[in-house]
Amino acid sequence: MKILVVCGNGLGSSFIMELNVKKALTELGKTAEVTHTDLASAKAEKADIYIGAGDIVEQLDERKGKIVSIVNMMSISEIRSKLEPLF
Amino acid sequence: MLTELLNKDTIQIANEVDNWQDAIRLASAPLLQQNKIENRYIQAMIHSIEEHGPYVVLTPKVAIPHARPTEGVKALSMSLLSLQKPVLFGPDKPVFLIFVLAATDSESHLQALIDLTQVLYEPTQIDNIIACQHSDDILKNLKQYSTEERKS
Repeated sequence: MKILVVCGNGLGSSFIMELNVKKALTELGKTAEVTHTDLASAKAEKADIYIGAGDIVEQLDERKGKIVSIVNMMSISEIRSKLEPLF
Repeated sequence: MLTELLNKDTIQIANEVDNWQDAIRLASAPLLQQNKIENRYIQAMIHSIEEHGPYVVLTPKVAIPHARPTEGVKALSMSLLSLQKPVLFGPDKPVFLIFVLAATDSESHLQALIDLTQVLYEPTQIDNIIACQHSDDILKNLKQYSTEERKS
């Protein structure tokens, strides 16, 4: 399972969210490969799950993988509840 | 590391601004003055939000605008603008705290960001910072979350 955290520049918000996705996975007792990148690179990279702010991930083609849109990127519980059904 | 980047020279408190673009310009002013960023970095941050939407609003009330290192960053730096009245970054995205992030590469700023995430996990801590009337008080709030800079 590969999870790609996506933001506009791949520097700030996606890094913070990568930390939070890893915390959410730990809480769920799940393991996955988690990395972060910018939107342009994400379009060319294959992953099982693409996760990020709605404004960003909605620009991805949903045929590529599952797309998870997060409102509060600091909320581990939101991330956890949206990832849980996908495992 | 967080409070090495955020200090009394880079923290500002203002009553209100007209729009989110002005919020980013005002928040960036100390970094521009200190020659840490070029004017085009401010334009790049604004352009990035115009293009991708308000994804820099990481959690309610808080925005972390940033662009790429190649878009006019001269030195790793951060600044904070705290607003008494919120500015809208999107239709339902009122923001009180604007943390401008200027990174020189994809690694060196990460410890400061990790420190910042510790602050932002606590909605009450966010409200405490918004309630501060002086930058010294904001610094006190941030200090407890700032790790020592690792000397290697």
